[in-house]
Amino acid sequence: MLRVEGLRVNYGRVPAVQGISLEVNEGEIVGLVGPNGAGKTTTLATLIGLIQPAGGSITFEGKPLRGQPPERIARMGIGLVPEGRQIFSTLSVGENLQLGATARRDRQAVRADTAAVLARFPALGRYYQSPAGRLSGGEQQQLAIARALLGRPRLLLLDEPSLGLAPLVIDLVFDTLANLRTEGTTILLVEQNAARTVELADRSYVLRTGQVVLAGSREEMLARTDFESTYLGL
Amino acid sequence: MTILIQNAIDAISLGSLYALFALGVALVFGIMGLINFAHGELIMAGGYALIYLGHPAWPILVLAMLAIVVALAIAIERVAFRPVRGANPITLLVTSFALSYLLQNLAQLIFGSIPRVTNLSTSLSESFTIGSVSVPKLDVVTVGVTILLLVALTLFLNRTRLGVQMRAAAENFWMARALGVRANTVIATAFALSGVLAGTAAILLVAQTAVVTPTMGSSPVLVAFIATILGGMGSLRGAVLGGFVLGIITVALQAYLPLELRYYRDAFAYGAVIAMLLLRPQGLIVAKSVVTRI
Amino acid sequence: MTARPVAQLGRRILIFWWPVIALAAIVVAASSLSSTDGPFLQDTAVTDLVYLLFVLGLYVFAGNSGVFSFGHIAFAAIGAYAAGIFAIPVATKAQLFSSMPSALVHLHTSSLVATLIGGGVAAFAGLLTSIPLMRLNGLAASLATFALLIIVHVVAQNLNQVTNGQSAMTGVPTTTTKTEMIVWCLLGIAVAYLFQQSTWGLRLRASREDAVAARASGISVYFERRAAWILSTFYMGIGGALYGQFLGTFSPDAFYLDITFLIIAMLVIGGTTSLAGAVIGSVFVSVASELLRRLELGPHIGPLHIPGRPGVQAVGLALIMLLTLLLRPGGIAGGREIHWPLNRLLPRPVVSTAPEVEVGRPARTDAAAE
Repeated sequence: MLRVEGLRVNYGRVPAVQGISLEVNEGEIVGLVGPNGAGKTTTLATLIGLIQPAGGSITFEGKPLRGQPPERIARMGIGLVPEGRQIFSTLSVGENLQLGATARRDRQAVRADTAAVLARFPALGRYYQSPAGRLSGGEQQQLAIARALLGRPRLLLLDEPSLGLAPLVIDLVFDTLANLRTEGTTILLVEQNAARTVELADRSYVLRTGQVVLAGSREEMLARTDFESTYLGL
Repeated sequence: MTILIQNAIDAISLGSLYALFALGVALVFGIMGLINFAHGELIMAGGYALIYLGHPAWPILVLAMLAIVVALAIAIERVAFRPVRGANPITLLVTSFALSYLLQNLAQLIFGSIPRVTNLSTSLSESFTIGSVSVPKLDVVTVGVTILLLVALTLFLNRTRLGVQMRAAAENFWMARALGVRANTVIATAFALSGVLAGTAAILLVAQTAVVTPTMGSSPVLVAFIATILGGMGSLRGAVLGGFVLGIITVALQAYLPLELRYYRDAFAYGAVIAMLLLRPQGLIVAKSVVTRI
Repeated sequence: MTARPVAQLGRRILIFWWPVIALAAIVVAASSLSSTDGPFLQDTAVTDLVYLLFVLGLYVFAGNSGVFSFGHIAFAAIGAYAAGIFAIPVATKAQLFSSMPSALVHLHTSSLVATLIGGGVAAFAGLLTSIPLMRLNGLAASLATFALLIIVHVVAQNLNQVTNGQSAMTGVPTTTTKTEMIVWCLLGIAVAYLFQQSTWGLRLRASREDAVAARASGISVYFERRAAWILSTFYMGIGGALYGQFLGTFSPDAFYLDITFLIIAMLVIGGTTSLAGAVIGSVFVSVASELLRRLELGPHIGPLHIPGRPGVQAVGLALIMLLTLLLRPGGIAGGREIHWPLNRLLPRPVVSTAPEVEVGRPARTDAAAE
């Protein structure tokens, strides 16, 4: 579904991503893990069109993504749950959700989806009219995911959803992702929490200083004993 | 007592006008991080449009003028600001400065620098008399029109899809785009709305001064500049508040400052601007995601 | 054998100073062009050189710190008025300026001293204003400088005892010559170059490239910026003083929006981030303005006479500036200096950084998350 080849991204003159290739197939959860500064977030930001790469190719369902503006990429069916949630704190929860469905025309279906999403995350229903800035960190994360889901994305990108969340909430998030996979959503999950990610994902890539240093299926990754050394570069 | 009421009416009326100026600038700033110095030239264009459109029935005159100003606003965005979209705020500022200069001198070239006189509506220059207070009709119209526009704008921003998209874009432009909000649509809408505000301001200004010159937009844009900073640059409500505060302060200073200091009124206003920037810059920081987060 | 170290030293000096030498040559060449056309163009040359000095002043601050100032002309006004007070003969002042306090009336010095006093007073005002203003960043700083311009303008218009307000300061001996201006400009170029190669200049430029990294490595931007600001206001004061002693009569409007726009245009068109940009921009705009002015008067192309219209010059200049911003935001010089072209044996001359972010587009788009 998503194919990235030889991606190179620079911040000014500093290379942040130096030739990454990865693949996400339909119905999978693919994990992208690695320490801080490995280039994970940069990769996601490039996928969604927020950064222009210096080299390499990105195709989604056969169509090239490079050079497309974010709004067009979103309308192609890619949803983003960004690092730090990035909910619109001055807008209400309802308005945040409404924005998730910006690209959609099918009002009926949107209403149905909204009801479904509120059922999945009851906290959002409670605060529907309140400014989103009032929600707790965990609730904001739920809102961010819900908002992305309302776009009916075929590929969902998540950037460090567990960051700053209490363990129980992290459980909720990861359970949600597993459920989404069962329902047929394809997911690319960027995380620092390597252990849980590798366990959840069907396949994972390990990034370090802008390059893929390790890749494999769940079984392969869990079997590796040199994980720490590769991951941390020890 | 009468004088106080008279001054109060002047203050509210002037405040309304200033709020209109400020709002036009704040709308664009909120979304683009751009202080559009050329907003004054939109007002000026409205003025000249009123002169050249002749004497149809006033609703048609108003609508035609607004259409012209809105078209100009959208054209400005397309031609001058889209190529520099995403550049740092100073580039944007300098670009709008250059554009303003260009349009002013272009107007001078085309229309000549001699002020044109209009007789927009003689009925507006009359006044009501309530007790011992004389209330100029124009003041009433100014306040009324401003309130109307504010209500309409609020409804638009809160109740329509596009309005919600604009508020989202103003808070976090990139995230809005990542959800599918079209940058071009939102920005063009902001400019179009600022065009409506500019056009309205033009009518009220021209009705008041009866004169149109190529440089008539300079003072309003400076006022808008002060008002938006005073009110906090990121917020529309702040701009409106800033406009009213500035109007009240202006009338108050004019009425109550000792004669020698009165001429320094503007100096005080701009001093307040610097003070605001130093002491209460929240508006500027809150406004744009272009500011790096550290 | 001993000739070689001397030759090498000479070569080093040449290479170090080459950017200045090249620019000096450009300035002298450009200003000598005007002497072929009689006294009228001589006057234009002096004015153009004054503008060059102003642009140098603006560059010393804005180019190094990355903070754009709209208010620098305010300091030129201060310099002009201060120098004027000292340059005008006592008798003239007593006669023309009825409201001026006698302490000011009795001040008088030679034109050179008056000029230096103008620069000094302006720099002092720069010192005072730098305290609050340099705490601000980016957009806030620029807007504050704009406010400053207006404040000084209003004060100049109304402080009749000192400036004679709207009635204009007159009677200033018109002592500024083209040669004098050239000398000041060359000095200005050299000092600007030295500043940007100095530790302070380098620190400022580092902070300009990446404010966060600079702070992290312990560079306090505040004091460096203040230094640049004060130096730049000194330039403006000198330039203003010389300008006043060229015009003979001036009012606050001579130091307001029109001239502000002009020098900003010069710096932007030439390129904000290099000294070469400042000089080239100034020369380019001066030449272009002259051509446009002739267009305005109605040029003769062979037998044709195209009727001119006033305002063409201003429109043309604004168009050039806009086109530069839209198409070549780095300006003509693109942030580079003029370097010695043959540079085999010695290490590269010191810092000339291409603009990352300046008056121009960013090198990358900011992501929603970093």
